[in-house]
Amino acid sequence: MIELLQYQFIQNAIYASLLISILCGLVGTYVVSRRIVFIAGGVTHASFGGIGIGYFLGIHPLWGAAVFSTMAANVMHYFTGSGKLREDSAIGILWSFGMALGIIFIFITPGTPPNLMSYLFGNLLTVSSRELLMMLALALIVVLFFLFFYRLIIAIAFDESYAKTLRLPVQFINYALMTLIALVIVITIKAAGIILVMSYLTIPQSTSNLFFNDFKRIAFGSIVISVIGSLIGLVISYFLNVPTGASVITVFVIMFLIARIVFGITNKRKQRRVVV
Amino acid sequence: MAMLIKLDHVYAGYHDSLVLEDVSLTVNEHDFIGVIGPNGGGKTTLVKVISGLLKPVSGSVYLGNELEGGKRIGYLPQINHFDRQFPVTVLDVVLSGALNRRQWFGGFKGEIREKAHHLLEKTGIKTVSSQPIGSLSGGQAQRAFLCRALMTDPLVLLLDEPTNFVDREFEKNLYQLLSELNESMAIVMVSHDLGIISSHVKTIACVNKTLHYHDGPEISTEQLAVYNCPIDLVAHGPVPHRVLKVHK
Ligand SMILES: Nc1ncnc2c1ncn2[C@@H]1O[C@H](COP(=O)(O)OP(=O)(O)OP(=O)(O)O)[C@@H](O)[C@H]1O
Ligand SMILES: [Mg+2]
Repeated sequence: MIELLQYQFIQNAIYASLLISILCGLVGTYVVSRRIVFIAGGVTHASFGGIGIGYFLGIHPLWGAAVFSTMAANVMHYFTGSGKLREDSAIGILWSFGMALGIIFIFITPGTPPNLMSYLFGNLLTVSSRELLMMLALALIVVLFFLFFYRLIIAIAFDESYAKTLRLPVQFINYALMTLIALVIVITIKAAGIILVMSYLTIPQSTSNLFFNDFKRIAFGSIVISVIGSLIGLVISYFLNVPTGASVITVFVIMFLIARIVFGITNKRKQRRVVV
Repeated sequence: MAMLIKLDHVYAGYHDSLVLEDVSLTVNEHDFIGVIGPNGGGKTTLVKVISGLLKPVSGSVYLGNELEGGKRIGYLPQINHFDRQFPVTVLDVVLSGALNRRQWFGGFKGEIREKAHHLLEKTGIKTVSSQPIGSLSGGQAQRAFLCRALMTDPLVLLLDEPTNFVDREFEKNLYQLLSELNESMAIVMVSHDLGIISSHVKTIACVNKTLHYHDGPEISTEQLAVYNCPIDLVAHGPVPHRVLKVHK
């Protein structure tokens, strides 16, 4: 197994797992805490429109997706606050419109169509060095943002209207976070694909949440869980020759179930002790 | 007495409907104003306008310089519906009250933490300060939110039905605490409990779309009738001696 580490693509896959775990650990904890999983799902699917446009224009499809899903995320957030359109309806519209645009642009682009499977299910083993650099840059931005604005993020996420009475920059933080969520989702599509991104944003967080009740700890725990799960999933995918995204997510779910059982048992012990 | 907040012919509402019409009210230093009125009369809306959460459709809200652009207004919202699953501790909720535009990042200074602990102690929830906010009872959460409102050393404290969830025991302590606080800050308190209102507040504002100000803690039934201000009097426990008659 050690000789595997010599391959560039394996190394890239490992670095990508680390970076994506950090990105999704932080951003996913926010998404789950704030109950905007459905918005994140909408952004994920809408980004397909950007991928199609990227192809059509001949640029890296992830750049197209980055611009498009940032716009979609902020439009969704705008509707969440405005009351002009029901939030879930806005999400539904952008979700399907993005997918439709993506297919249209891929069809009208001359030449061989891209491998759609890789965008739907992702592949850690094809992460290029350039994409790795994009992940690293984004990870730096996200980590610094959370370190710098941590107190503000929590105060606003917990009670937005109180934050407004304190004259805190509520809209700036909200829109900045929606933008970061969109960018993280786009970068994660490379690894997990459109269909599986949501699991990176929710399963490690739910596992971590079994043990911790505080945002910082949940985020830190999800990063650790996500790194472990990704590496195990990567090994399994290599030896069983199955897609990496799917095997990582299966490992995530198994880890969650084990944690749930362990948590259940220790909790029962505690309860018994209280009774006695 | 210095003027802290002045509402001048304010009209306010939501979307197309006006809830408050031509409301003028001045909050001075050391005021203790009880706000009464029927359900849906616009009490909460009034408090939101004062706090700056809701911009008036027309009319103006003047803030005294000491309020530093509204930073030193403390606000205890009416409905304590909050996300009980949100991963934040009681202490962090209280500390968040000290955030302002200049002070966001890094940890909180020692003196701010000391103040938070002092307030938690005073409201009797120090023992639960490291628990998640979702594990608190309604009354305990209400106290935590009161602590949060006091973190800025407000000059005006807005309380929207502060006794909604708290028990009798803490209610007594609360009024004791409020009268102490009243020495250093003006208080505007919404309440349905007229008995309580008339034995603690200094003046009364009656809100029912418009606002009528009574320069004293007592209102007679006739006055309420004139002002078209139907109050549901909720008297529970030992009836206070200044309870006013229910009026139809
Ligand atoms: N966020 C909102 N959007 C639209 N309408 C609202 C909103 N909040 C309040 N209203 C309306 O404004 C009117 C006044 O509401 P408000 O909450 O100010 O009354 P209140 O006097 O505080 O009542 P209560 O005694 O029930 O607390 C009500 O008719 C209500 O329907
Ligand atoms: Mg109200």
